[in-house]
Amino acid sequence: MVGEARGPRDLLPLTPAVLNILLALADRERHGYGIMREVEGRSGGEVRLGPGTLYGSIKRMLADGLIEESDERPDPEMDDQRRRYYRITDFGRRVAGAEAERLASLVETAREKKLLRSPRQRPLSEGA
Amino acid sequence: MPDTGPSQAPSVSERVYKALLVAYPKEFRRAYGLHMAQVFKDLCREEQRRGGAFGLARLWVRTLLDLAATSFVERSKAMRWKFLMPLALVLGLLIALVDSSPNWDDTGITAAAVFGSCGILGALYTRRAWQWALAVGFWIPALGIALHQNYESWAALAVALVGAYVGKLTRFALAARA
Repeated sequence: MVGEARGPRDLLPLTPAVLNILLALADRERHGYGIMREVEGRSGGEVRLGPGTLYGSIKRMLADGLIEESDERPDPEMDDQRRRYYRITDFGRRVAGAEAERLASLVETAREKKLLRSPRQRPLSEGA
Repeated sequence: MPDTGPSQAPSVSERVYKALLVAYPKEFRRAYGLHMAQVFKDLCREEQRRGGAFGLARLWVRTLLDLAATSFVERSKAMRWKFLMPLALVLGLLIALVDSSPNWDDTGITAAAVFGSCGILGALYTRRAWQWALAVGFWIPALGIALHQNYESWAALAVALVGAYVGKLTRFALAARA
């Protein structure tokens, strides 16, 4: 596997599409449309992956060893033999964790520089 | 918009989208075309259920922008491979022709040329670095054995392999420091 030869931090920073796909697969296996719906639902409709972005990212994530294809059919409601399911690999989990730590560190810096208020307060972008 | 009515819209849209997939390289289409069409079909049904013809029109705008951007990215990657591979083959052949000429006896320069060109190619296109080594390094043993029965010239392939992977690792190291 290409990704296994490198450390998780070698792939950072992740593109928003790749991070969103890893988050969508973190709790269960999903097919392409399932990934799209999860990303859209979780972001409140703000992030909508197009088919080209989704499968272009999937292609690179498979090559990097972040995800793998699954033979199982975990979604009986939308099951179709033609649908291809994907699951996150251990390496993908480590990469997603490293990216989350990187983003958390950035958020902490923003908070220290008073660009962001504490979680209980309203964000500055909402005004005083 | 190519759709004629609400009930037929998804199937017409799906057919148009399938036709537009020709914008992607053949290998990409072969691997993911069916799945992209399936996802688009699902999206059509969902958008039509949510917003009718207006929802479908919004989906088409988003999808066309996505298709234009991602097909360009996929095509440029395929083009890079198509351009670099012939270049590697020609470069390897030229180095081998010089190396096999009667007046040439500087093996060090030949080895440096093979190592350097494979290193640059391996850094430019890091995936399948071994193929650059084969494309550049194959010619020296091929001509060396065919013209001079020089079986030691297989060593050129080892130099090429080392060069390609040194280039690849250097690229990763530079990317990590950036």
